[in-house]
Amino acid sequence: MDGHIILIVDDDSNVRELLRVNCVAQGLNVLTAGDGAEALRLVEQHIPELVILDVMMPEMDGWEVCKQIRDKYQDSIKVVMLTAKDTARDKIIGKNILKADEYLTKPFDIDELLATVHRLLLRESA
Amino acid sequence: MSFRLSSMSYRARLLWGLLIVNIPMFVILSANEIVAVRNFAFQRELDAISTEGQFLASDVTDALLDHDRARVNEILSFATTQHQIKEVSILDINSTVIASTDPTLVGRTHPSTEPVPVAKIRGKSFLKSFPIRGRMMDGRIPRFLQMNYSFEKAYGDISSTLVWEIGIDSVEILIILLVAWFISGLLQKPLIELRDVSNLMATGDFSRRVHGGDRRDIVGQLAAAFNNMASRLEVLTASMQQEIHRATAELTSSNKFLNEKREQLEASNRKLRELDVLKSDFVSMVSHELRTPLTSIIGFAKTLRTLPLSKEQQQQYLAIIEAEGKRLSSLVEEYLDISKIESGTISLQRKPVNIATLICSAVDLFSVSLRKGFIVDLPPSMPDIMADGAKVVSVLHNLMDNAIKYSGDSQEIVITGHLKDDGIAVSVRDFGPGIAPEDIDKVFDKFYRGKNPATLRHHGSGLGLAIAKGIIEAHNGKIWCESLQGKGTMFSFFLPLQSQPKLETLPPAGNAYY
Repeated sequence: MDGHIILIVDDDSNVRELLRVNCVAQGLNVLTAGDGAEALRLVEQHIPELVILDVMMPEMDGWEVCKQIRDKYQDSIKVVMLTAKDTARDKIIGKNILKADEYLTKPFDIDELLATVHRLLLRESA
Repeated sequence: MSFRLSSMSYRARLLWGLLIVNIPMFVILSANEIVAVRNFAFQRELDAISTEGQFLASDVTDALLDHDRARVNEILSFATTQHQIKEVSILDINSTVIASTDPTLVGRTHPSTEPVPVAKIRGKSFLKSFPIRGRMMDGRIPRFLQMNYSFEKAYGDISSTLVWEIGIDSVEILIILLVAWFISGLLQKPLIELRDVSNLMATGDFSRRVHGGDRRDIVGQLAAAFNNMASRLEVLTASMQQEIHRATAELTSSNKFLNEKREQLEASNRKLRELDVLKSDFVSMVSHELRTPLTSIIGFAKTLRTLPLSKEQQQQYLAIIEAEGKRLSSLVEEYLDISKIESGTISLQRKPVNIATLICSAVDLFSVSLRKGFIVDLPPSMPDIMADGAKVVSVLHNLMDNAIKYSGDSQEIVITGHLKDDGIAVSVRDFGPGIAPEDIDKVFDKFYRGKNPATLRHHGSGLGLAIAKGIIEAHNGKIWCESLQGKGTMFSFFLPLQSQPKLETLPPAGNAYY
């Protein structure tokens, strides 16, 4: 898994740190952003292969970030929504309307998240 | 001319009737009169003829007896100077003319055949014979004097009488018609009034009455009956109008009532919808706020267990677990608080407390733990009030916490206590960025969180000020916020000295979701 660039977007610094340390341990190159605007800036700069995206953030929320990524990069960047929003409606918005590749809810199992990231990145390289 | 009597007016019919009766009547009367005049005139002429004829006959007889032929002619020609006498002849027994004023007749048989002893009408003349005596004249014996007497004068009298008659009759008919016209107008007058008043009644005006109701005749009786009917209709209509007004008023008021009810229902419906949205928001917020620290706790616990970490990292993550655990715990506390406040089941442990003491210990706590500068301005002495000390402290903590969050590290925070007539006011003032005017009303709303960067840096449930408001209001107090953008914000609350425990402590129930 070495060398893959992924972006972690969450307004909660603790969650960011949790994701970062685990992904780094997997050998991924990790970028982090605390809000939507910063996330889009980093996407522009580094073109990560995958984005782990929180939804409920102040100012620009994850829906908007996902939409802009899809508008600009189509399917070339994988998006994993990682959010506390667990209603069926939210899942439909995330997966069917905004075309996120995966939709995980908090609190999440870190192994499951890592497995998902692997799967998406491998599919990308294959 | 074709008349239809039924299509004519009342008066015209009357006048036609009068004409139809009058004209034959006058014709009969006139004829009668003409006959009388004629008889009279004829009699007068007859009398004149008799007198004149007898005089002439005696004169002629005298002249004949004297054989004075010239005198006979003279008498005859004199007679014709009177214009009524057209012709005088002397006839013999055979009606042969012996002498005549009309020379053409002499020697012939008189055209009127036999001598006529009585008056006989021939054309426009009377013929009458008078016996005469005398000697023979030209071999013949005169026997009669026959006079042809014109009654043109009588006819003239008759025709002038007729003209008079017709003239007088016409004037009479005219007078009769005029009088009839006038009288029929008089008779029609009450009927016209009845018609006009009826028309008025048809338009809804029942106030008018007709005249002549006091007269005894049929029109008077009709007028009285009509007036009576009008009065009853007026009363009936008035009562109906009243009834309609009453019913209309009733309808209006019931309509108004229904409208009010509908508006109330709509308002409560709106309120319910708002509450529903709020409820969804609340559930969503709670779930998010609880899940975030849980995510960290579970995630870091597992990370600590599975990843090889440095000692420092271990310490850092353990600290996060502890902090997030505390955050979770305080969130749960806050949710319980707001739930109690909203359901009105908050219970206050009222004891005499001194606000000055509470402020000082809070300031001590914050100064030590945060090394933050506070300016405290309190009156020399403050009376105790009956209040739930722990809850008032939580309000103070919340306000001070906010003040610290929203002001720079070097900026001071001023806490002031005021003694009022009926209570104590406390203000916490910071010199931070302030709150936008449009947001001031929202700061006490549940989940409202400011949009400035300071807010975004800090975790918060968005419930702190809503809880503070609930606690202060449960004490019958008041909490408010003043802010100037760029100059800072001041939160103040007021607690009454005599805060009687209320039975119904708090804002209307209905906002309790749990």
